Amino acid sequence: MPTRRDFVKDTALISAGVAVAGCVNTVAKNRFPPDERECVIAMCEQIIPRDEFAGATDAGVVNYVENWVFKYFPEMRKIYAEGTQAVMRSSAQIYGAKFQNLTFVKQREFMELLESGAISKSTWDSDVNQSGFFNEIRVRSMQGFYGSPRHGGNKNLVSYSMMGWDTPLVIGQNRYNGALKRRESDATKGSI
Amino acid sequence: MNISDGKKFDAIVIGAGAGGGIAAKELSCAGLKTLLIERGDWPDYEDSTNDEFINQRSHIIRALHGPDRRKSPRAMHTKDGWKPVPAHIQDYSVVAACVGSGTVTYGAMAWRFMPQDFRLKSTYGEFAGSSIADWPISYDDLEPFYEKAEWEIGVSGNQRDNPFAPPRKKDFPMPPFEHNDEDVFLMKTCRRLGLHPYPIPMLRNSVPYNGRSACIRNRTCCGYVCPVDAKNGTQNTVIPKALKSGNCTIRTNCTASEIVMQGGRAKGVRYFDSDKILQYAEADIIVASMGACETARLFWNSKSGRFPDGIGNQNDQLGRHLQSHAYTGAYGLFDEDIVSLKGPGATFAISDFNHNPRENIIGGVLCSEFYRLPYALSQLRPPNSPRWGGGTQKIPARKHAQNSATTRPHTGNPNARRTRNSRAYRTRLLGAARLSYSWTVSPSRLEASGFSLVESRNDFEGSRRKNHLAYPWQRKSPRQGSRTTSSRNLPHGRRPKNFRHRPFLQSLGNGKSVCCRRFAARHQRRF
Repeated sequence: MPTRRDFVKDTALISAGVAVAGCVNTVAKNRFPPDERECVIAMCEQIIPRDEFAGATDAGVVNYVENWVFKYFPEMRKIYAEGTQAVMRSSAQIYGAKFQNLTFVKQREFMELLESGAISKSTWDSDVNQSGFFNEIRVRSMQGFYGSPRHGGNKNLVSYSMMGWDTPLVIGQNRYNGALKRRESDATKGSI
Repeated sequence: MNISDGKKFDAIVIGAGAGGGIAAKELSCAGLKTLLIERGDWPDYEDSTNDEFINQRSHIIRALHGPDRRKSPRAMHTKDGWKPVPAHIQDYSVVAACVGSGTVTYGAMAWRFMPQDFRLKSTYGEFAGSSIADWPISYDDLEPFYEKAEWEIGVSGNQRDNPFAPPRKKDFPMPPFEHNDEDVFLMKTCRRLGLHPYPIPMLRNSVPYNGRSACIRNRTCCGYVCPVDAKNGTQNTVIPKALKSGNCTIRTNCTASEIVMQGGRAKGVRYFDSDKILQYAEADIIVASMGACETARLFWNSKSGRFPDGIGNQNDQLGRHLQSHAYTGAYGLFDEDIVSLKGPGATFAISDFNHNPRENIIGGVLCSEFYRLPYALSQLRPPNSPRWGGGTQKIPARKHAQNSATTRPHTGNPNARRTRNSRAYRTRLLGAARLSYSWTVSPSRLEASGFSLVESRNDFEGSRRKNHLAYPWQRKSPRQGSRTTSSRNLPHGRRPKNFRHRPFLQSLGNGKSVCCRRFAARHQRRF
């Protein structure tokens, strides 16, 4: 007969298994593939590099970009897939390594080429517009860095604290998504 | 289709926004059975998250109160032809889809026209390619209604310090707001320059009014729902009154698809109800108040033998002359802190250049700007500062409390935005408005936007010349003209040699600007 201890152990193991499986599925669904993700992280860090202030990687900007692509505007998925592939491919042709594996200085050089659309057509070999893609990454990096942490970026409120911006702003009480609706539905269910 | 409402109503008002809400109240309080149709729902602060990316002003991810980008398609004319325009980008021209519409989330400035605004064409003459016109009514005709609206909806302010204010019989119902730190600073400078700053009339409660509380100086105000309901829109003033009269029925989540015509008269309205079922209602009076784009779209969709191209479109003018929300503005950075963290900002204005050819500059009202939120501030960069790479964080980090801004809507080019060769094409039965316009602004207008004015005199109190930056800001506007150096291109605190202050007056339809002196010479008799 299983003891209470065995039962607790088994249950814990099963729950852990379910949790891990759940995580894996979520990651696969709402994240860039590893290569692409590293490339986006490196590009964002080029836009807002860490210096005396926190940079894009510190702020988890890539999480915002992923939300932008997978949650808010799925039509952008194709552009990111093709754009990052073209960046990695042309970087390998020009510098002999994928963009994320280049030195910081070489990455900067590449970004300058990308911004001005100066990579030759045969090297770039994609329908995605070079400076358009650069601008997309630039704007998303800024938004991920300075926007609300609700959308994935601005980890630990790095940009707000950098600016000395007091947040979250307390107005009587802080409000959270659907908090009242949840309270109301709980009340109608009689659980309160 | 359900013929649900037959002749049940005396009046139908389509759209419960600024105009529709007031129309519904006036009709129902006069004893007419009124149906008010609104495509959105009642606004609720609980849906609001004070998010810089989800609101009505900077709808980067989505507009909080709609319209939903998938349900309300629009098309835009580009160099590659007509393209669908997603609702979250600026060109879509979002107008909130909820009861109260824009009045729920607006910045809430309550301007009266000036008497001269009603006689623009006879004062300044006609410009080729423009839509400039005189009004068929005068300021005196409207004055009593301005007063009624100000008292009924609730406006804070006074015009004692504004010598250019249009005449009024009664003061505002509420005292003005106190000025924030930034504006105290700017007003002092304005006075020293001989200008006349005064508090902006605001549709916000400076003191408790109409049974609702006073403003709590929230930073997320313009573009957001008020957490304490201190912002006065139609949703919390006239529409509740209309409903209380017992004569008004409001139907939310209903979208009008067609006005049914009988001969030359409107007979009824077809609309999709909240369950997407086509309904029909009849009334003697039908008011279409759906905003500039959607009203035109509905009229195009409402064809009859008398109006084969849409209601009132005999002269092909339907949907043209669309006025944009284009603003000209200027930003300055200072050595000392001038911004307090209290919102919402925008507390003073000057009207020294309204129809007043002071120093050969004629322009619109110039206001201080609302509080700049972090992402918006991060996008404001002085000339020569990097757009990306090392050092981009410096300005937001170091200058957050030291930035200042003035803006004004530019009314100079009546054709700034218009639908041209547009026809609503039918998609999903409702059709979509197609837009074609440009945001073109001439540099001479930029120079009239305040900072460049004071900068050119090197007279901005407290800002040391070497660190003082001033640059006008515009939306999506290419620089035009070769003779004028836009002060946007000013290097740090230095005036280019060829900098000349070109007066602002009016832009011609072809995008060329005309300088006031030349203009005056051409129209001497009129001056």
